[in-house]
Formats: sequence, structure tokens, C-alpha cells
Amino acid sequence: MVIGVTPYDRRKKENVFGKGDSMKNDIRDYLGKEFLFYDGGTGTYLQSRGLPPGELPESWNITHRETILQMHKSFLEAGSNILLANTFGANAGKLAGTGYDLRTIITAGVENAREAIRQYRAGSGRLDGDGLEAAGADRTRPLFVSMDIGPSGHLMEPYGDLSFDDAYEWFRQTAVYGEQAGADLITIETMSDSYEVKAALLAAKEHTSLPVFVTMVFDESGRLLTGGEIQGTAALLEGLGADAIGLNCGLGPYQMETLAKKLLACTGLPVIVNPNAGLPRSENGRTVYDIDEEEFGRVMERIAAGGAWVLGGCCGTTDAYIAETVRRLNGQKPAKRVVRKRTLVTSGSQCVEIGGDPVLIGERINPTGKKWLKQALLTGDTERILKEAVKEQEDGAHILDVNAGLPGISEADKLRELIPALQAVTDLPLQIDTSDAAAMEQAARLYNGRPMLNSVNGKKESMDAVFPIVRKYGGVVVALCLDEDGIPADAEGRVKIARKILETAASYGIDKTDIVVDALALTVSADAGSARVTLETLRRLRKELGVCTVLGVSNISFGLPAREIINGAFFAMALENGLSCGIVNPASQAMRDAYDSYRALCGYDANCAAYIAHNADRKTGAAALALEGGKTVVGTGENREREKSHGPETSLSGEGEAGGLRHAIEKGLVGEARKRTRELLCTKQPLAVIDGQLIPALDAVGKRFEKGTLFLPQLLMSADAAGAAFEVIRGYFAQSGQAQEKKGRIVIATVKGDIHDIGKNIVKALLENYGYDVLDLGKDVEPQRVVDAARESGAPLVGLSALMTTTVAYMEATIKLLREQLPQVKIMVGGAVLNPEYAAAIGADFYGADAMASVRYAEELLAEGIFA
Amino acid sequence: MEGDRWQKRIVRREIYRYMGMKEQAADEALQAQVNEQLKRLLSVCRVRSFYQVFPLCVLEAGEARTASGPEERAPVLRLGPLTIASRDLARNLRGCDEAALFGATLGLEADRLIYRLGRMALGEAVITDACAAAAIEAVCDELCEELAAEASRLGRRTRPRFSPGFGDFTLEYQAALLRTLELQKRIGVSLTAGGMMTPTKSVTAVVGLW
Repeated sequence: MVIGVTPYDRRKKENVFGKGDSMKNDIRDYLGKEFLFYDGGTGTYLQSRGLPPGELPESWNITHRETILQMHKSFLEAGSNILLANTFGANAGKLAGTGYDLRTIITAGVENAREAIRQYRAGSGRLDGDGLEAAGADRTRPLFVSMDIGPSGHLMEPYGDLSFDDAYEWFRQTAVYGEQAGADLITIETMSDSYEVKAALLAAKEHTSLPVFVTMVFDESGRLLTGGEIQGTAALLEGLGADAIGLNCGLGPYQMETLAKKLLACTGLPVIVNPNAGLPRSENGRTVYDIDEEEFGRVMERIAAGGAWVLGGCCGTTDAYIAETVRRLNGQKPAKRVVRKRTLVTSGSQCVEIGGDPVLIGERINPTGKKWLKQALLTGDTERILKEAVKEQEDGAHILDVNAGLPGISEADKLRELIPALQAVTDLPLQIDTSDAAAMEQAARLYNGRPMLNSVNGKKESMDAVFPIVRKYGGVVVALCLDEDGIPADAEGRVKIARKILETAASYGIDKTDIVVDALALTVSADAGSARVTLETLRRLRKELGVCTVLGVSNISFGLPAREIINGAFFAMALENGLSCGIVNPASQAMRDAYDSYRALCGYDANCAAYIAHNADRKTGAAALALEGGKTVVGTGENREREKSHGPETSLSGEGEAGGLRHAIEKGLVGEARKRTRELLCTKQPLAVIDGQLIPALDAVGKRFEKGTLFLPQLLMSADAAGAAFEVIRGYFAQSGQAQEKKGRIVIATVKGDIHDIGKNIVKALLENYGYDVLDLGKDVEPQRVVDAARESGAPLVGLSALMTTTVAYMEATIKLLREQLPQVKIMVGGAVLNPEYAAAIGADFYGADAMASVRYAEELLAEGIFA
Repeated sequence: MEGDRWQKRIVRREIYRYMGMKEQAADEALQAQVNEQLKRLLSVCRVRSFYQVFPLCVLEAGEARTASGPEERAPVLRLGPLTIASRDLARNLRGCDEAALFGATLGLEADRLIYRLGRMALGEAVITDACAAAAIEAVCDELCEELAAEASRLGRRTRPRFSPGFGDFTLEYQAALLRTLELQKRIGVSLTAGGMMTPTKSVTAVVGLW
């Protein structure tokens, strides 16, 4: 039996990051034994000493050293144990262009704090005569200098322009310089993005041997700016090896008291609480806070009684606030805490708990037995995969399994590409499904959140490879009940393997709550007893090992007809026998029925609300069969349930007769277009469909757009419908082994510095509909990358988009580079700030005023034979 | 975001303008689409804003262009910690001795939705993008009304808001403005290396008080 240990206990026994624990005074030895106090607001102090808002506070480490020393000493006198070096904004990004050297600023910051401690230890008497000496009277108490690492100042990709790798590198530099300068620990603070904090924490853990504390900013509802909630964020930080976690900034002590309770209830780590001095208001251009030190200290005492071990202040808190807090807690000991560990999987903004209400894991992104997905993986058709992911989410999945294992492609490369792309379109947590440990590690590293990892098994080789990944990045790992001797035929054998896996995991410091055991469903048509064994295994795993369970449910029905029927029945039986999560097709009605029924029957669905919502309009019996038959056509999901046409019902041109493909495209009906295309392909050649229906429809819509009788949203809905039709045709081509002929290749990109990409996506969609092979480099693209892509692909035409005056400079730079290195390439540009003159001035060949213009230009070049 | 209230505040005409068309040109189906996309957008947005009032004075009066005289020089304003050279801003703030700086954003959720739709359904993406542009304007309008109401309690009045990028008040001031208000920490707005605000549906502006 595995004994649960709190993550904090085990964290100290070893260091998975390859660096030995510091030989220095280790702050972790004091956690929970006595209260430790951070200092107060650095910005507040420096502004009161004349730092103008907007000036780089870290520059004062060099220019106003004496002021910094005074600040640190005032907090030491107040009773602080941990001095934050004045390095909050010291990172490569923020210092760029300031003329200050990163290492110099950080070294000065750490040394100033160290010097303040030296002077304080040696000193006697008080500093300013403020009468604050009492709290900080014991000059021999443990004192620490912490490196202070704040946010990068940039939003992470894909919504911002900072890549995970760049963020990691910035934080690495800062952390390393801090350790070299002699810091005792690292505090990563004021973080509001779980992905950014992952980069910072990994960088600090991998490149220093210092303890790392992390505090983040939550709003009053308990969410990060990027959407993550307390429970999931705490699980993420625990998994990544933070030594203490907590809250700072944003809120005052009252609001933080509520949040601290939540945090204390869900983490076994030591908890830090550093509030502002209340809520801010503006007074004569200055920010002031609404709580005085008395009140602050009073609430902080309550927060400490609730179980926080490390306390301090943020914006607006002076030495008086710290002194009052220290005074009140003088002689008290930190509260003991017991926390029940949970099985949590997270994304950047969502947290899914396994072990209570059953969880659905979408199985669709796995190429086994799926021709379309194999094709999409091989040809790099990521969009198709993203659409499937969004559809699974809409069908009710809670977690998505992602498997990119296919002969002939590098699984690691593919997962590195797919995972950020998937996380940009779905906020569901992902299950990284691979038997390649190197691929699993790279994916787990890049993943935003605390992933589910699929899988480990009882073979020594597997555990040796997978457990270090779980240990280092955190996450929940699926453990298969098989080992060197194969899959045991009985439940006894499977439970035995599960026990072995849990014990081995424990030796890595991995708790059983981070493991979900797969009892293994094997096809019942080959062995009549197999389902019974699986169900018994589930029961015993839950009862004897107290561990969460998972199954690839539909494996049960291989080789049988009407698989859905038996899958649904087995799923309901498995749930009743203790299954925590099922890897299923969430679009399957039978699975949905089993799941909804189980939840309603077992009390997970209050008032049967979900059951009613899903089934109120449902017909049963013969009517249901008819309905199912008609349900074979589904929209992109975004369009499902709603196929309203645009434009009057009779087409202006009168060309697209109602009910035909042309009509569907002209009206922007995605589902209808797909259905009509399928019908047409039964009798017609794909090329005939394209030339006879698709292109005329697009032309009609394009002409109306150019005449101003139809507008951009309608043009694009038609483009979406045409895109859906093309998708069907592509599938047909793939099946028949033919290839669709392309007119020519075009490279497009949104230029460096610019992250708007709707305009570029519009151009791409239209060009693709007109038969061009478009290589989309995305947004914020370096000039050289554009040149390289044009060279490698041999595209004779490059399209560039920029939306802002500030980013047109990069467009110009890109054009210049293209002209130098690929003088024969034609360049078209577009974007809100451009006009024909401006475009000509920066050297473009063509300015596209709207979405159709780029198509017309490409068609012109095609007529000239440039794509030949 | 409290959907109903914003539904009412958002100017429909503006949504269509952002889509490059007139409201009257929209047929029923498109109008229904717009309503639907707007509803979904408002259901996910987390609106945040922050403002702070600073003293304002004119440091240098600036010089107009004359036939023979010195080159044109924009007036230089001191607004709290900021020094801003801009003729158009100075005109907007004429007679004011204080000004509020503000930042407002629809939050990351709006960008996420538009990004996702941009990969799934471009038509919906473009409509949602236009709705978001109109929505952030509505947020700013409301914020300015609040500022005006507060000012009027003190017997003062406000000027129309003026944002970096208007006239000769260049986008280069955006960075200093964000730093001054600590917008990254307060409402999650930061700049890309190219000087764009993220989340993209964000606005900063100056509102003169007199």
C-alpha cells in the first residue's frame, strides 16, 4: 500500500533538476516551524523617495544605492525575514534599450540586499527613529535575500508575441545571475499567466539550485488574468516543483483572506500571502490604498491562523504594515495543515478533477483506424485536426487525447507542432498519448498546464522512462495493467501490476493521486470473460488501491457489428464498477446516453438537468431512427444547429438553384454545402464539381462583393461553405489516391511585430478556394523566415499583411530582404494602414484593397504564366 | 461581462461599419448572425479598466508654421509623469488643468474566441471581431460617462477622449502610458515588440478635465 506524502515533504528529499540542494542556509528548513515574513512594497517605497512613475526602478540599484539600502533596512527593522532584491523588472525584454546591463542590475540588486542584512546584523539602534524596532529586535533571526522575478511584460503566444522558449531564456538569465550574485532563494511573483509562470519556474529549477517560491495575482473571483483558477494553478505549480506558493498584489487583505482559504484547501505546499494595503484609489495623481497598518495586521493574523506560513505585503505596504503583522504573530507558531490530494488535469484556463463526477476523454485525435487523420498528419493539414478537436469539445469531452504516432513522421516534432496549435483553439486539457518517451517529455514541457500523460506500464523500461517526466513536469499519468509478461488474464494479476506501478511511482516521489490506472478493455468477441475481468479489476483498483481508473471503452467491441450498442452498455457497467474516466468518442449517441443516464441515476446530475437538456427534444422508437439517419451531416460545430442563409432566398444571379451546391455556397451554408458535395460526388467527377459548381458560386459571390451588393461577412461565410465543400472533395481525392491539382504556390504572412491575423486568414481562405496552394507562415513572422519560406517553396508570389503604422516598418524590411535575396518574387501587401501609394513607397508590387483583390492579382499573374 | 447591459449599449451601426458596410445593407440573416455572435462574445468577455487622474500643464507653447519663421513645433505637455509633444492632443486638452489616463480591455477571452473562429469559421470570426471592436468602444464610452459624472460632482467637466494614434499624438506614447498606469498588472494589457496592445481589443486614452 502506498503511503501518501505531502508534496512538500518529498520535495526536499531530492532534486529532479540535476542540481544539488544549496549548502547555504536553506529557507525550506524554516517553513512551517516559524512564521517567515516578506518585506513590503518596493515600488511604494521608491516612489515615496522620488522615483517617478515610468522610470525603471531597478536602475536605482546603481544610481540610488543608499536609498535601496535604507529601504531594505527599514523592512529588516520591521521584522522581515525575506528581502526581495530590487530586481522585479530585470529581464532581457524590459531592459532592452534602457542602456542598463542585466547582470550588473541584478548583481547590484542582490548585493544591496545582502549589504543591508550585514549592516542590520552589525547594527544597533534604529534607523529613522520611527519606533519600529521592537518587531525586528532579534538581529540574529534567519534572514534571506530573494531574487525577485516579475512578469516578462509581454503576453505569451499565440495571443501575444512572446514564445515559450524566449520567455524561458529571459527567466533563465535572470535566475542564473541572481544565484551567481548570491541570492538564497528565488521568488517568482505577480504572475498572472500560468504559461509564463511555467517558463519561469522551469528555468529557475533547471538552472539554479535555489528554492523557488511563486506568488500569483488572482482577481476577486479567484481567477488569473489568463483565466486559470486557484485549484488548477496550485496543482500546476506543485507539479513543477515550486517550494512554496501563494498570492500577491491585485487585492487587499480582506479579499485575499477568502482566496487564501481556497488555496490552503487545495495545496500541500507552504502558502505565502502578500496583499496590497487594500484597494487602490487615485489622489492627485498618486495611487493610495484604503487600509492602514492596524487593520492590515489584524487581517493578516487571521490569514496566518488559517494556515499561511509566509506573510508580507505588496503595493502600498510600508515597514509599518510589516511591523504590525510581525508584532501580532510574535510568539505564535504556524498552523499545522492536512490537505487531501486530488487528481487534477489542467489547461491554461480549465481544471478537470478525476475521481468524482466521471470524466469523458475524447478519443478522436488518434490515427489508429482513421484514414482522414493519417492523411492530415502526413500532409500537415493541422486545420483539419483542430476542427476535430473543437468538435469533440462541443460534443462534451472534458479532456482530449492527442496521439500523433504514425510511421514516417517524427512524433516529437508533430506533437510540438500540434499541442500549441490545439491549445490555441480549445481550452480543454490534453492527454498526451505516445509511447515515445522523448516525444512525451517535449510535449509535456511545451504544454500549457498540467497534462495527462498516456501512458506508463509495469515494464521496468517504461517506468524508468516515464516517471522522471511525471516527476519533473507534473501531471497525471495513465498506468496500463501490463508488464514484461503481457496482460494478465485475471483481475488479480492486473491489480498486482497496478500495485507495483504505484510503489515504483512512490519511489520517484509521485503520489498515487497523480496516477490513473487503465484496467484494460479487451475485445469480448475473442474472450467471453474479458469484460468481466475488466470490471472486476476496476472494482478492486478502486477498493483495494484507492486509485482512479480509466478505460479505452470501445476496445470492448472490436470485431462486432453495431459496436455502439455494446460500447454504451459496457460504458455504463464500467462506470458503475468504479471507472473514473472513459476514453470515448464523445459524438457517439450511445456513449452519451450511457454517460447521461449514469450521472442522472447516481446523483451527479442535480435535478437531472443535463439529462433533460440533452434529451428533451429527442424522439424515441421509429422516429429516433429516422432522426439518427438524418444526422449524418454535421457542420463545423460553429455552424451546427443553425443554417441560416444570407441574402434573399432567390439568388441575385439566379444561377444557383435552391437546394444545389452553388446555392449553398452563395448563401454561406456550411453543413448544406458539405452534404450537397457528398451527393454530387456520387455521380460526378470531383473536377466537374469544382469547375461546374464551386468556382462559379465563388465567382458570383466575389462579383457581388466587388459591386458592393454583398459584404465581407457574407463573402467569408460563402468561403467557409466552399472550404467545407473542398474538404469533402479532398477526402474523396485522398481515398481514391488522386491529387487535386493546384494552380501555384503562394507564401503569406503577417509581418513581424504584428499579431493581427484575420486579414491574412481571409486572404488565405479565398486563395485556397481558388485553387492556390497557400503556405501560411502565421503572424509575427521574422523577415528572414519569409524569405527562406519563399526560397524553399519556390513560391513566385508572397503576400504580406500589417495592420499598424508601427509594424509597416517590418513590412518594409521584409520587402527589402526579399528584393535582395529573391528579386524575381512578386510581392502583394494589404492591411488597414496601407494604401496604393504607401504600398508602392515601401516597394510592394501590388496593394490589395480588399480580400478579393489578392485573388484577382494572383489570377492575373497566373494568366501571365508566372506560376508555371 | 453582463451581456444584457452591453447588448443595449453597443452601437449596432458601428459593428456594421467595422465590417465595411452599412447597417441598412444587412439582410435579416446577417442581422441574426450579428446578434448571435455578439451574444456569444459578451458571454465570454471579462472587461477590465483602470484610470488615474494627473495634473496637466503646458511646458512649451509650440510654434505654428510660418512662411519664413522657424519650423513647426508641437506644443509640449506635461501630464503627470509623461511629457508629450502633440499639437492635436494639446488642442483637445486646451483649458484643462488635469486629465485622466485610462486603459480598458475586453480581456484575453475575446482574442481567444476570435482566434479560434479565425481557424474554424472565418465569417463568424469577422463578425465577432467587428462586434468586439464596437464593444470596446462601448466600454470606453461608459467609462467616459463615469468620469464625466464624477467630474460634475466636483463642478468640473470632461473633454472627449483622445487616444495615442489620433492625429499627431503618436503610438510611441503608448508604452509610457501603459507603464505609468501599470496596465499589465492592473488589467493585463501589455505591448508587443511591435508596439501593439495585447489583448488586441484594448484602448488607452486621455480625458481632459476642466
